[in-house]
Amino acid sequence: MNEQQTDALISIYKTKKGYIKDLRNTIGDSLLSEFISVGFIICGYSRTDKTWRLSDLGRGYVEELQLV
Amino acid sequence: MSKCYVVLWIPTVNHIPINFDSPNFDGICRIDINDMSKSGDMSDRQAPLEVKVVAAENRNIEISVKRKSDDRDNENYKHFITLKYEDSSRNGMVKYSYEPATLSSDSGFRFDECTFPEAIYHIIKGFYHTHEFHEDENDSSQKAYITTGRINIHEKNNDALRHYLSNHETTILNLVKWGKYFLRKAIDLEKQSEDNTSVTIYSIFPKMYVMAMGYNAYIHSLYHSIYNEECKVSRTDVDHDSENEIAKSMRRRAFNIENSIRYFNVLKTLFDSRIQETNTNSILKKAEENIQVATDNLKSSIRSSRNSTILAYISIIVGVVSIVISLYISNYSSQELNDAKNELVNTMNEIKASTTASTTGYLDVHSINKR
Repeated sequence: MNEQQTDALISIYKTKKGYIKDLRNTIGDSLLSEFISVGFIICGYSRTDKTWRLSDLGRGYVEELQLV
Repeated sequence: MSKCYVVLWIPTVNHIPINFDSPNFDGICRIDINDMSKSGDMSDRQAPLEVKVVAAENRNIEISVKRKSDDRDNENYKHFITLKYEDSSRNGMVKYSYEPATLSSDSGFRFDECTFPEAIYHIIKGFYHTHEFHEDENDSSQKAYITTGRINIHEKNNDALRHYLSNHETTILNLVKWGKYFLRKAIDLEKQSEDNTSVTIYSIFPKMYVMAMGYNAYIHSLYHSIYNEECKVSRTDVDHDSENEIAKSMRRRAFNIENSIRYFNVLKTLFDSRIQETNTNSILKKAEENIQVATDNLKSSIRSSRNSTILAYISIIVGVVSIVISLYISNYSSQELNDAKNELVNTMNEIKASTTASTTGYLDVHSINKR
């Protein structure tokens, strides 16, 4: 796991939820897609934006590896 | 805008039709899908977006949205869109049609030729599928196959089939990648740990492994479907010199789908042997330490019991002296003196017996006190 990937995991862990466009700007498209596909984050919607939240799997991944 | 078609894949293990007549949860789901919702906030961004999804008897899906207000009335929903049932197959494909609909803006909740909300796909999947290999909320947010053109889900190598095989390849490769990262990091942590008696329970890697195995079980309904002729490792019509890029990529996809699971099994074996072995050694070490502590405590208690015996002897001597003095200066009868003497002798015998017992680890204090 490189530094960029670790930083991205820590970022979603600390932020816990937000808007997809903001997260895409923070961690990039590639990592965003990966986190969604493995189930670290779950997508939702508001009336005006696509949203995301950290899943239990994502939370546990960071905590068990003591990344924070 | 053009009419749209969506093909949802409902994972199935058995090759039987989807049971549209008995959906889970009675075919009704009400949920707030806005992860950023704040109670009392009426802005478009943070007002709860409560949707009601109903699997109707005619197999259509009716989706309603709750009006933006503080009204807690559960039935205050306004109909938003109908997904009209078109077709289904025995390998879990369901085709619906719909007219595009947008709630507030082009980046928000909407159904059009590019967007089918993953949360709605997940809800519909939940009507006809039970999440056996992962918690409901840990399911991958799948992108649905959408088109404005013709799509026949019974056609060989149709685009919806290609879409879901591609999705699966991506998901399984990412699970392997992140599973491998986890394992490497966990092994490093165990090596660095200074406390060699600590036991760490890693639950995430086993969860990811079970998820991968589950996806692998379900994908067979598509991968080994009669409709899949091109995504096969066994294809012999493709070689390195072939100019058929689609055919080559399909064969690569098949290889990745099959080999990823073999690789994940190797990772699981490594996890079992390295992490579990480390934990087992830690447990054995801790047990050895506990046994040593118990042995030390036992020796200490034996020394303590000997000290108690000496004190008891002193007490008895003092008692005898007291009786003698009392006899000399008092008018006690000989019978009472004899009883006192017998009591003292019995007590001394009990102490002697207890001293013997304490060398084997037991001191019966209570039997002395009863006398």
